[in-house]
Amino acid sequence: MNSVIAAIGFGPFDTDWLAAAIILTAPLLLAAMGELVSERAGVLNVGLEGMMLAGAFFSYLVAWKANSLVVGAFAGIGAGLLFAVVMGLLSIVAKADQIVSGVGVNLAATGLTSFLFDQIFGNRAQVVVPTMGNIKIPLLEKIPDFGPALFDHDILTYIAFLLVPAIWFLLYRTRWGLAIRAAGEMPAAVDTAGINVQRVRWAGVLTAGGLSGLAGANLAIVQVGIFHQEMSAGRGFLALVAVIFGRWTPLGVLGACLVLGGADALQLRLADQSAVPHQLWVVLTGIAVVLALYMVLAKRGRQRQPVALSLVALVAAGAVVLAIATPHVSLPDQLWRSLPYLLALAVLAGALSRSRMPSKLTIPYSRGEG
Amino acid sequence: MRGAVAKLTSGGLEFGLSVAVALFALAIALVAVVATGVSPGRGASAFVDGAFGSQLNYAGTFAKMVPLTLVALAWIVVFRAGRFHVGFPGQILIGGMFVSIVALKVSLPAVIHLPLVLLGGMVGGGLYAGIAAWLWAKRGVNEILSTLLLNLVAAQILAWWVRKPFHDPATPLPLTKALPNSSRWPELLTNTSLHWDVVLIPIAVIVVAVLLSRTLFGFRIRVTGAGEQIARHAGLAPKRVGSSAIILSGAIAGLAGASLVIAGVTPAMGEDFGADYGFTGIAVALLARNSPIAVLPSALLFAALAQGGGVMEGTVGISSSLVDFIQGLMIVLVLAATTLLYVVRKRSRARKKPPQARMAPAADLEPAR
Amino acid sequence: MEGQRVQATTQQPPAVVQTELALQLVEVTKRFPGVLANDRVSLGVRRGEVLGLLGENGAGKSTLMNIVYGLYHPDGGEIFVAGRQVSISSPQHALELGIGMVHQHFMLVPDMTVAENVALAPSLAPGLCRLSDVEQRLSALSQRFGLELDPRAVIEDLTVGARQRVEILKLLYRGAGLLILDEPTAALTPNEWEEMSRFLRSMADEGKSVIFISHKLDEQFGLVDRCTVLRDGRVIDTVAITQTDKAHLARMMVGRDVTLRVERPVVVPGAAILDVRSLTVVDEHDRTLVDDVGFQVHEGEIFGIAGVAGNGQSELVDAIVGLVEPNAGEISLGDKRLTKLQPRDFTKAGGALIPEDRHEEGIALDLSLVDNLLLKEMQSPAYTRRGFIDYDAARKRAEQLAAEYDVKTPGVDVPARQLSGGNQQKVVLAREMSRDPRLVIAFQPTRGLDVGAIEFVYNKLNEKKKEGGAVLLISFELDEILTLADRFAVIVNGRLLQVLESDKADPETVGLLMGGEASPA
Repeated sequence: MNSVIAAIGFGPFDTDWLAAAIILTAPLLLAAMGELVSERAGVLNVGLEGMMLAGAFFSYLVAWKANSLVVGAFAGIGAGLLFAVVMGLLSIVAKADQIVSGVGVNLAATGLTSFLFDQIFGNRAQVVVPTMGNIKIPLLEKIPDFGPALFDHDILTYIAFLLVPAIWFLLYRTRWGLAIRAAGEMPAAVDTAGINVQRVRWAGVLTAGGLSGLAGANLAIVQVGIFHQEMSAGRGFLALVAVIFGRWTPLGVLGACLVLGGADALQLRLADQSAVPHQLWVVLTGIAVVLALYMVLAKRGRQRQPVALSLVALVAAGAVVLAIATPHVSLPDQLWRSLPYLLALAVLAGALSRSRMPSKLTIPYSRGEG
Repeated sequence: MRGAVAKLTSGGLEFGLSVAVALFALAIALVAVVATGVSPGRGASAFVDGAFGSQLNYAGTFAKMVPLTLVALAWIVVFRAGRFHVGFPGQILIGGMFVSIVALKVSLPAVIHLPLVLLGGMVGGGLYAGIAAWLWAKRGVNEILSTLLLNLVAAQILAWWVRKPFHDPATPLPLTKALPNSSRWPELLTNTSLHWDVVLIPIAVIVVAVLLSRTLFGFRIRVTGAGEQIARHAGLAPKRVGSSAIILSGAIAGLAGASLVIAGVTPAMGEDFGADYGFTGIAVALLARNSPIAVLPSALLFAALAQGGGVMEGTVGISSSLVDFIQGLMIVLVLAATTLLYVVRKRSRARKKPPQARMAPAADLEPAR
Repeated sequence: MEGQRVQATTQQPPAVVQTELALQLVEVTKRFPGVLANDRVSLGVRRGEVLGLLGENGAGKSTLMNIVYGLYHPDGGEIFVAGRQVSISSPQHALELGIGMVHQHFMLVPDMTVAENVALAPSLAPGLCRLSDVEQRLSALSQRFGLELDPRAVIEDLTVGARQRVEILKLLYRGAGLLILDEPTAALTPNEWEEMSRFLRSMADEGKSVIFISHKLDEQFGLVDRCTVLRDGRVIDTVAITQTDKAHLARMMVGRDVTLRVERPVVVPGAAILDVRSLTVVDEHDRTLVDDVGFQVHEGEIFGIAGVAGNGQSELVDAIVGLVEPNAGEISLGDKRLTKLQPRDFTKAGGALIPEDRHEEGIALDLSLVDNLLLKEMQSPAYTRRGFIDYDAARKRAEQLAAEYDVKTPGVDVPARQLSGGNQQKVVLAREMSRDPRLVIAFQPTRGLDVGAIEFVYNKLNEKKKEGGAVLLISFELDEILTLADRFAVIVNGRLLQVLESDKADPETVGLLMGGEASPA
């Protein structure tokens, strides 16, 4: 069995990595899908991190007290929703600045969660709640190597990935989604069509809150069965990054989350290696080439990006050289970890992404302001 | 005469609003304290004692005031220019990184070394903010999104910095070598966390207040913040003014980072020496309603909360996380209260005002150009 | 669909109401603080009729239509839709009643397809949106009215004319029986207008009703059955288009009672101060906004540019003050060429501007009067020394100017926001005129002011002229031009027509010119 995996695997990119990447992607994906809806509706929710932590804590607390994981998961959603209500009251009703509101919600949610945790569990050992068991998908799970890696997960992981087509369908195939997308792009058009813009934005904010609460539940009661205060570990911000990186489309966000989750899993596996395995360079080359091809073929970008393109070409060339030469270099894992952020920055700086950003993101809508 | 009165009542209203918000948040805190089974009197006295009760405690409060004041001032500078950014955590960290370079790689007498180190911190923060400024001015990248990302990158840079190039091989912990005394703020009160960097509080407040209200540069910032179109008519380049404001605010945040490193309890620099102040500082500025002078009481309150809350954890066993919650709550309440104030004022103006005869109605549905 | 439902409920019409009317307004009144926007307005639109609504800017047309569309609630009067009295509470309600409105600014989401924009409709639950159905019905609809339109095209790829068609189809799709078009032709080419007017007629022939708002007389004549003229919030008259002529309509539209009389001082003009030659400004969509414009303004002269809003006035001013780089042409102020310069150079060369949009360009609402009066003195050594501002000097000057220009304010340290519109404009005047400029550009200088403030502005401009300054007055109101300007020209579609002398011009002829009639009778 081991030899099979080694044969299938490509250096660090083996099926263990794949399975870990899937697990690590799930919470990101849950939160990012919610945030995607919120941002398409025009509300940037910086409080994601806090909502996620609150979701983790309350899902754990309730799962422990009620002795039910399902009830716990719903409690996680509820906690996310609670802070989303605060966010909505500030940014939609009071029309306060969304960023500052988000920072406030973040601090409040994180603080409240930590406070309650300290008060309740400060002097006693945490009980480990039994985590949700894995569900093997019949037949698919039998696929050699990939089956166990892809089709042997908990229910929330499946839900996370099923959310992608679901959100896609909601956004692009329902009238609700139409209103959401229009509210972020041109709220006045929504208003004159007789739809209440504020209500549409509420839907976005609440979706983000509920799903990031569920993402927190995924961390606490699905993955480990306990809660700790660094549990969200910046994943809320990562989910924000994923939405930008994914250029505000469900598929793009899925790709971004996979890259982020995969990088996270990779960095875990590389932590004990002294040199960068050469397979990594090969994979990087592949990614760069795909990216370059995409940029060349992307028709909707109107004018192509010579700067970005040559940059990608440069990276690709460098990676090819490194893949062939396989030098014994060790790069800091911090670099791998900041790669997604740097990529997101590059994507933002290229006009391609800016044109995809909902134009009225962070801008409150009011009819009567002359 | 009447102008002074009008200004006073308006200022009074804003002041009263902030006080009300602070009191309300504190009341909620007290409720939380009582809920944990501690009597309100004991909780309150434990808190006051923790913040001001002993030399050690009030030294801690004033020491925490320094970064809070500086970040709040940094926010006020960009806010007045009409730009928002949330890059203070990153600028604090990169400021600290530059501080460690100047402190460890240069050997000089303290009179020169310390100012040089401070300058290093400001340059570091300013440069890091410069990335966001450049992305905004030249590439049109929203400065909020870019600074959010740059914060995350800065955390990784620092994590690497204290593990690889500047790691002290004598310890397995992610720490730099101890910074030489010549590069550190001398202690103001021995055996406390209070260093001479508290002098930065009045200096920075006065400098920023004067800069904004008395200098040409500050005037440009305020005009640009008041409206880009107006600034253009007045002959200004909004992008240039906005960028300089972002960079200046980064430099001030970098100075806060310097204080956190060279006026800290440990002489070495770790990977996270207080990036959190970057967000709390915004809360300080909001409670001060973006007035540089009002930052003083506001920062004092937040510092006392942090210090008193921390001590309280030890004395009456209430988690210091309560303080984080209260800080977040204050932001939420200030925002809500500001809107309330705005609505009330608009109503009262609509009642009192002579006709604002602009035929606005027809333009109501026009999207902003 | 909805329209039919409403029509079905009209069995018991109120006695006074004419049933053949799709919409009837009876004595509708709307007040805004200080302004009577609509004063007992009554009008009616028959089924299968195109009704023109004619009036100057600020005559109350848009307010009236916003009432019909449910955005404003009238202070008095009654509204009947298909004979039934209604109180229209919201745009959604208006749509349910079969009333659709095409706004001056398109209400289309630019990155969505035509079909998606049309499908954007109220739904509480995530109901399915079958875009293919929408696309089919849209195609059918556009064929019925002979309009070419690809339902799958993305809005931002469409021309202005096509977007207009989408707006109208959107309303028809939603079942509108009465269409309101608010200045729909501003951005259309003549060909697009031809098609549009054919289309509107064919709709009327199908029994739908149209209210068409415009200043342009020839458009009214090519399209409408009857025309209601609005002036100062009141209905002047409603006439059948076959029983009137352009001169009559122009007279009704612009010939308002003169409310104030300001003597035009006689000054012998001197040398040319502002010289504009062949100025052309083209926007990013390749539309020519200012088309080969040339004129001169002399010392001791007020030169006026008359015209309806949106005919290139803003772009002309932006080019002169240096905010926009012209694509061709030359501008000189005195002996200085300004063609590729910045606003700072315009100010330095002795230019002053009273801008059109006071709140966006004229005055910084959050800054104090002292600061506002300092805006253009940043380089002046009298108020700034080594990077510091001498606020003692600045405040002294502000107090002096406030007194001189009669600014009613609690003090010079209060933010400009606290002042009334008239007093804000006086602050702008004080800032611009006190610098002793050689040229003053006054763009809609009395917009939204009361009579007293208007008189003040007029007197200041006349004073400037008597002192030998040059004044360029750009106004949408003909009265203002005729009162102040010595000479003036009408601007239409970015082109400046022949220069007229105010003493010899009669409002009727000018009204025709402004309405796009190049060769008046």
